This record gives sequence, structure tokens and C-alpha cells, in this order.
Amino acid sequence: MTINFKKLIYLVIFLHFSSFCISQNDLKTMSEPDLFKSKLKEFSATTKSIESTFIQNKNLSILAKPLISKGVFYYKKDKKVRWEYTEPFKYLIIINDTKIFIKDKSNSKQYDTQSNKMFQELNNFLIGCITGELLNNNKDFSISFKENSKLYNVELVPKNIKMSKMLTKIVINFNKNDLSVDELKMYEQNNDNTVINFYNKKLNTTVADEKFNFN
Amino acid sequence: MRNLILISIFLFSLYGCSLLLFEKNNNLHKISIPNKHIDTYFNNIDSSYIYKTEINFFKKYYSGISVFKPLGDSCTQVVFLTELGIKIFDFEIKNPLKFKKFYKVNYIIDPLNKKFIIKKICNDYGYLIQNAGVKYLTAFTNDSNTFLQFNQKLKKYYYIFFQNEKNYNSIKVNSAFKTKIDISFYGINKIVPDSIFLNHNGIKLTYKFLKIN
Repeated sequence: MTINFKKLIYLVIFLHFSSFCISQNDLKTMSEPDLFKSKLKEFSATTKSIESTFIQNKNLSILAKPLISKGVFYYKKDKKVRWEYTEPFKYLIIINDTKIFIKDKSNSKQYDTQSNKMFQELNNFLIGCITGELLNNNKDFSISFKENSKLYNVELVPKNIKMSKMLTKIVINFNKNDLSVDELKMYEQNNDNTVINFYNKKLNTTVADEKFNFN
Repeated sequence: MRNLILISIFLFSLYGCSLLLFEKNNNLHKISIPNKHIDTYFNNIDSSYIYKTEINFFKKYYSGISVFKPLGDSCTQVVFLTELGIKIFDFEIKNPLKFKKFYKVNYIIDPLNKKFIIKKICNDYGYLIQNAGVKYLTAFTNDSNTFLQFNQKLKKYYYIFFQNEKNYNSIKVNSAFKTKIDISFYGINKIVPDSIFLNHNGIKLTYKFLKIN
């Protein structure tokens, strides 16, 4: 009986991992990327808010285990974003149009993205991922589209040398059911990467404006 | 030539006086204790050490995560990331006490890619990871602390231990004229410190490291 039970556990673990592998590896070139883009545009137009928890895994070649951060993410139309890290320590980033507010235990500071090119690029990138605008940016990225039964997979390779020194590739996985972002992966040179997974997503719920206040 | 010799003698005398002053101010007297090496806290090549990091430089404030990974042969890889996971710099730093060219840049974000900034950061992180591997020159004591001192060019390093403690709780880096850098280690009864504060005297540059478990 014990042996059977053990076998069952091994089988469950095997199936779990094989389904994970399939979900990541059976990607094929997207048959109709224009249709996907128009669906995403519609999603972006009709989505007034997103609320989600997230887990961020930072994989560094020098670390045996990833650095794990957790938190809550909010998006509200138009161009309002709140990244609230709760673990391993509290850290808050609020984007409200062209302004960015950063707060931790010791300090808080406000930046204007229009006077800081780096923050401007970060702002455009984050908002572009959420709204899908990034997928039309053929000027700055070589973009390829793939899919499987569960997700749309978009890979962006920066054309700009400066950006490619920082990120060699960005991969965004969109959920096929509701077109929200399930996973965001950012690859650096030497294959270090950051993977952010979004969970418990709530679309178009009421998100208070106070969430985006700078205080 | 004569002036040069006079200036050298004057500077050398001043240097000697400043040391005597440091010893007097701290009520130090020389002692003889068995030789020992002074090691960095970050010396286990099977481990990596992760700290939340806050840097104040004049009116600018930077925060993120520092990862210290000993690579062996007194070399440590130091990576600094933002909380969002964006890499700011990645250096391999050797013991500045032993190697003239003591750092290698694997990556640094473009706005910071300036030689004097890189050197400053490598120097400052270098203080935390220098595996002295050098026997101290002189030992001093006062009522509460033991000071182990060694030199590098005109810099004098004092590793300061509470009496009867085997781990140092602070490092002072003195120039010819004054203490330039104070480094304090807290929670040192564990394998590595819980927190570290590095403070430059003379320029507004401070680092605060808080261990992440």
C-alpha cells in the first residue's frame, strides 16, 4: 500500500512537471498575430483596472536559489501603476502619468520621467507591457509572436545597443482566456533574468485613486 | 630639491603626529598578542550573502539589493540590483590590499559607467570584502577594545574588536591626517553581520547594508 501511494505521488509530480514543460515548450509561431494585436487593443481599451498579486524571481548565475520578492500590483486607467513590494521588505513604486514616486522604509522620492530619460524609458516600458502598446514598437524591438493552447507568447529583442546591454530579451506571456499578462521575463547578458508571475488577477474592479497618491 | 626634502620631512612628521594623536585620543597602548590574519565576514565560497542596501550620495539616494559571492582566491563578485530586479552593476573585486588592479567590471549601467565612480564603488565595497591575508603590524588596546593595525601606502587600517570578542565590530581607515572612513558591523555574533554602516568623513557618502534572510 505504501509503495502504491509513493508511486502515486511520483506520478502526480511527474504529470505536474510534464504539464509545465508542455505549457512552456509547445509554442508554435502565432498563426494570426494581427488578430491577437487587435484583441489586445480591445482588451486594453475595455480594461479600466487590474489588481493582482505577483511573485518576482531574480535568477543570478552566482546564486543557487532565486531572490524571491512578493507584492501587489495595481493598474488604473489612464497610466496609473502601483507596484507594492511586501516581501522580503516593503518597497513602493507609483507611476502616475509622467511622475514616478518611490518609497522605502528610509526614504521617499518623486521623479519626473520627462526630466529623467532612464525613468521615462522604464515608465514607457511598464505601461507599454500592460497596455500592449509595446507590441507595436517595431522601431525599438524585433518582435516575434508564438502561442500554444493556453497562452500568447511575445518575444521582444531590443534593437538599441544601449538597451540590449541592459536587457537582451523580454518575453511576455498573455493569458489566452482574458489576455491579461500572466508572466513577464526579462533576460540580461550572461542569462541572468527576472521572472514576474501575476496571480489572483481581478479586472475592472474599483481601485481607489488614493492608491496612486504620492504620500 | 631642498624644498622637496623639507616638505617630505614636514609631511612625514605630520603623519607621525596624527598617528600619535589617534592613539592618544583613543587612550591606546601597544600590546603583544599572537599573530593572526584578519578575514572578511564574506569568505565562504559555498555561500552568498544578500543585503538590502541604501546609498546616500550628497542629495541623491539609491536603494537596492547587494549580493556578495566569494569566488575564492580572495576574489568576491558583487552585484547590485534595484528592487525591480534591474542590474545596476556587477564587479569582481579582489583584495585591494594585495592587488594593484583589484577590480574587474562585468557590467555597469550606462549613466554610472565612469571610471571615478567605478573606482569609488569598488574601493568602498572592497573595504567590506578585503580578506586581509596580511598579518597586522601593531596591536593596541584600551579599556574596552583591541585595535589591530596594518598599512597600505599612506592608509592605516584599524580593525577594532570588543574585548574578548573574536569578531571585529568596526574598521577605521585613516589617512595621514584623519579618519576617512568608519565602518560599523552590528549583529556580529552570527556568522555574518546583520547590518553594516559605512560612512565617509569629509564627503557626504554613506552606505547602509541590512541582511536579507
